[in-house]
Amino acid sequence: MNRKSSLLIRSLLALLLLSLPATADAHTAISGVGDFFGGALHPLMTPTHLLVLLALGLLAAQHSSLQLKISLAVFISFSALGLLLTTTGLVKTVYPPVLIGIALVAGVLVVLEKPLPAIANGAIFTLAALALGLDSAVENGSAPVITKTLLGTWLGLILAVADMAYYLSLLTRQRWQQIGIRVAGSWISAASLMILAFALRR
Amino acid sequence: MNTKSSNSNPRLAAWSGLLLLALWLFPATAGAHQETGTVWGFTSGFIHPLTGLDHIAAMVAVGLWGAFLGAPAMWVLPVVFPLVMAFGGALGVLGVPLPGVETGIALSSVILGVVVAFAVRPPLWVAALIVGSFAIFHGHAHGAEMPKAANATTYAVGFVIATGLLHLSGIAFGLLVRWPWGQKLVRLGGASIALVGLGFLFNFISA
Repeated sequence: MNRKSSLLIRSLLALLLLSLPATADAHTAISGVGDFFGGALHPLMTPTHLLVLLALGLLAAQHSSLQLKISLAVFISFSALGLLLTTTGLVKTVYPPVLIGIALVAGVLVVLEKPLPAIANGAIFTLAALALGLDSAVENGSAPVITKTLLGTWLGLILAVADMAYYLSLLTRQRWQQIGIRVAGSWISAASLMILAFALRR
Repeated sequence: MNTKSSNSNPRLAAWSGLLLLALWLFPATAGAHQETGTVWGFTSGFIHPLTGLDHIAAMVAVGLWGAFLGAPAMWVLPVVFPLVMAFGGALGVLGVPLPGVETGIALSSVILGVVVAFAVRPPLWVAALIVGSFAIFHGHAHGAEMPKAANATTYAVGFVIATGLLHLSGIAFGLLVRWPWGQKLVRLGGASIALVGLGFLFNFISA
């Protein structure tokens, strides 16, 4: 299968998933799709998570291919750790300003388009992965249900970041495309700043 | 390697991404007839900047001026505006008072319209400073008027996207400056925006 048809199939699949009537019901189980797919869709159905994932995808797309691999490796590892920690019951949710703050910082970094030291970059991806994982706790269910849901969430998180990073990295070849990514970063930062204010108001 | 095919993929990816984003945000995917929740938040945020002529005039003027000044102002101004506007929005949400908000909004249309009409070309940092200063007033008004029931995340996303699209429409119009007749048209557009601003400033027009 060539890249074009692969992209088309992914787009159609995403379209199908997005057309499900339950798409607006964030942070609740999506009936009818099963535990695994419910978990996989969770990051896409939770607006705050999606905002963080978009910001991370844009940030990763601006990296060199080596740094991109490191960022993804860090994200995969620490999102797994975050999800595992939810099973201990110690953390139910993450304080919303933490997640929004991550999106804000990542968005600003995208706007600035400055190469980051590997350690700073790793820290952002670590924090984001842990926060997203910890904020995806399964509230109730048997052990197999929780396992399937968390596995689905893990896969959903990884696919979202990896796909966005890969496809957006294809958009960094020409100057106007790089500018488009920076503009998107400014939109994410602006939205995050306002959401942060909403969260702090409550 | 097939260069043509590798070049077509990014464009396809960009269009697919935009399409998916648009579909994800499409109101029909959720519980319609319900004035709370995710989609209502997005709709409410998206519509908000489009419901006031004073806001629309200023947002379009930012894009218009950016296009008139050319790169990098064409994209720097529409990046600066939403960032500073969000800061103003945060002040509004948090209830921090800002005097003369309505006057500031009306003045923004007047000043931005005038600079386009007279083809003023200041240094980039001055242009960014002018645009940023006015953005605070717009943001504050939007933040303070946010409906309590709306979903904060999707409200903010809708609000920022609508603002960005208004800038884009200004840029699209402003790109006519490459032709002599287009320059006249763009400057006329600037003058019209300034007149609208004056109308709001002296209460000939009400929001």
